[in-house]
Amino acid sequence: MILHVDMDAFYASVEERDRPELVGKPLIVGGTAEGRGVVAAANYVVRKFGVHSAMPTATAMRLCPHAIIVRPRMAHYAEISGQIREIFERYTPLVEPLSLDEAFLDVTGSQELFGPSVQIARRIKDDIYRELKLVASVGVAPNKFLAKIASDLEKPNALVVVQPDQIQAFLDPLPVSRLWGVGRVTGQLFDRLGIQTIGQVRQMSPEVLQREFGKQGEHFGKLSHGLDERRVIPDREAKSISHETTFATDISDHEVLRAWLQELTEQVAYRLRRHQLRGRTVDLKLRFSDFKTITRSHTLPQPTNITHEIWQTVATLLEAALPTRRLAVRLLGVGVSGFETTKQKQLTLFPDESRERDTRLDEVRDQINNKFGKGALNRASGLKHQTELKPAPRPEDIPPKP
Amino acid sequence: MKLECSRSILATAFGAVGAVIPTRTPKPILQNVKLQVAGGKVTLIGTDSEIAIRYDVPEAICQGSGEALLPNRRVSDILRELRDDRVTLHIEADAVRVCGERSEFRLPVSDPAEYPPVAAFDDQDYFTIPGKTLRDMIRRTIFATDPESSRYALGGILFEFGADKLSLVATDSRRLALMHAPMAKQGNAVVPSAPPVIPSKTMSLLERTIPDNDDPVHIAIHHPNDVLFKTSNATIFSRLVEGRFPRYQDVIPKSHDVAIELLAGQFHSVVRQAQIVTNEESRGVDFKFSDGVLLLSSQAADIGTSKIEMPISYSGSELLIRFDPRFISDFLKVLPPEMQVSLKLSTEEDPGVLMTDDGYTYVIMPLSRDG
Repeated sequence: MILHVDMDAFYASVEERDRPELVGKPLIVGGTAEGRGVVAAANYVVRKFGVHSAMPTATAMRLCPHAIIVRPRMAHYAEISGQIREIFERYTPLVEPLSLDEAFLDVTGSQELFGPSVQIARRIKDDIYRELKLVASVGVAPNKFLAKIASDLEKPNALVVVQPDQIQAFLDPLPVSRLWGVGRVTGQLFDRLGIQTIGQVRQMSPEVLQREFGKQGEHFGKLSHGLDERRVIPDREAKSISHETTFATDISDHEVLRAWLQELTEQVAYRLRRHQLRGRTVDLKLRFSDFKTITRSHTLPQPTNITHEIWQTVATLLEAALPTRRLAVRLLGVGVSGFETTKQKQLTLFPDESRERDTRLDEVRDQINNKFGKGALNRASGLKHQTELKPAPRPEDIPPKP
Repeated sequence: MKLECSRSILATAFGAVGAVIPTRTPKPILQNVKLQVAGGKVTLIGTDSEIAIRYDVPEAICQGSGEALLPNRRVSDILRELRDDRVTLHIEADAVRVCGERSEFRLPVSDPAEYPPVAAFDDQDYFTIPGKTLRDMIRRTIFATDPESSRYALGGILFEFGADKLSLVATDSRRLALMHAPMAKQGNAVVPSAPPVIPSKTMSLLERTIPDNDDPVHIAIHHPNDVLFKTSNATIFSRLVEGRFPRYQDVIPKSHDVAIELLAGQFHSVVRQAQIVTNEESRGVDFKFSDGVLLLSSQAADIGTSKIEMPISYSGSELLIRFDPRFISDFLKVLPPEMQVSLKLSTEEDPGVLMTDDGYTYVIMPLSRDG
């Protein structure tokens, strides 16, 4: 069974926990309206006013003029995310983090030790609450797709279980928008066909789905039957490590893109080092405002997990890729793959001083960040507005392929 | 202005100059070839502002004199596609007409005054070395450069001038190639205080431009900024690479425990065989030297294993060392197969040295064998 653990209003809840005087008040974590900031997270009080994440703070303030705005503390959230992850790892090594506040866990093999999956879900929820004073919603289901829907269905503080024999009863009444890959545009297509629920999608013949939605049709058909075969892939087993982000507002400013790219690169490099992996191939992914997605990759002469080397490579790839399409960028991603096997290491004739310096710099930085929280030490180019633009994924960006 | 010449000679000239011309550039003017006709001599000029080439087109018949900017890509395409033996270029005020016997192309041209100045070889003090020798030296070192390294100096070839000797050195820090040859001085050529590093792109352009004869190549170093090479039909200008080249002398082993004489062609053959059973994860080939036999073995998951024997004249204690076969091949493939090479080794973690008796040394680090 698969667990999808999703922290409830994560950033806002952390702020409420740390500053009890905020509890019960409308709280927005994000940039200021004057700074053209964006809502990164909203607590449940302010959500009643119609405020949601990724909304410009200025709009949010019109909806709820007395809302309190708190600057995001990404380093702090990242540190807490690490603590949550440690709780997950007590129960299973198969943890696939999706972002700071959600992860998939495969607990199939853990049931012998810790009891049924529902019990594991409850213990994780309890551990998180007892130790961190934060609330998680958990979905328990036979696969990722169902678990993700389940965790979201009765938020906040929810524990929803979908047993293998309840899949159809669970899915059928849900709106099509719950299907992985159905966004605004596809939703309208279904609407035009008179299809509102997943149950109705399940009744559609594969031919009709194929005709109306092309390749995606087959995927929708499978999902409507509750079929999803994606595995939970923990970092250390992964063939690549990547981070990507969809912007709340499409970005055309070059410098802002570079700042984001740097942020993503830092995250990827940090994860590589944490798992003692070095990769040879660096990938850049760009999705433009017209949804066209391009990937560019470059293979390095030697495998690396050095932030600076990955950064230089992706920055060059970005410079080369951007002029190909003069459009704003919707999604940006960085990945490293082609991991070396440590068995055969090419020895070198002389030490590469700059490489050694970069490695030491990364080590010191990791140590400081591990001790004081991510972001305790940052590159000067890390820009404040990055966190203000921190987006919530837009539904149509969820990958269409299972 | 009008010029008539062999199509293939002109195509070769455009090919050489075109190698420098950037495909993408913020300065579109650089996508032209500058044609200069003066005193019956025809010269093509191209630059990407880092490297520039002036190429003399031999055996051209010209009328008038002057300059023109010709769009490189179109003209090259025309010269490639035409089937005529001879072509004629008519340069008019605002266009060039390229004519074959049955075809005519009229292309608009840009103002030559907008083209950046390109240095000519005016030096009186310079070094000289026979063209063929320099070409060999470049071929035998350029593959060891690492143009993608963040250490810019590794992206070029080091030119070290001695009293009457020139050494070319290149390394990507995993292997190092060094070749030296006699050199002469002209005028008051002074050995530069710091040996210049010349970009591998310049070197490969020069290597292709040097004609297959013993005509000397002239080298003028303008420390610390640029260098000029002059061959019998071309002048190449290049900026120097900035950055410090590693102290390469320190990594060339002074002594060794084992020396084996091998024939380049035969050795290359077994190395290529062993390389078949390698992949990105298992790149290494084990070289086991024992009494009278060299055994190469390789294995890679999902591919298989290999064992290749080669008789050698060696008697001594057994030595096992693992190399990336590509690095060994790189060295062997620039040598004639009948050339004798000597391989010198110490331990499995020390660099191996390959040498020829014509001044060529190649140092290569092994792969670690733990695990």
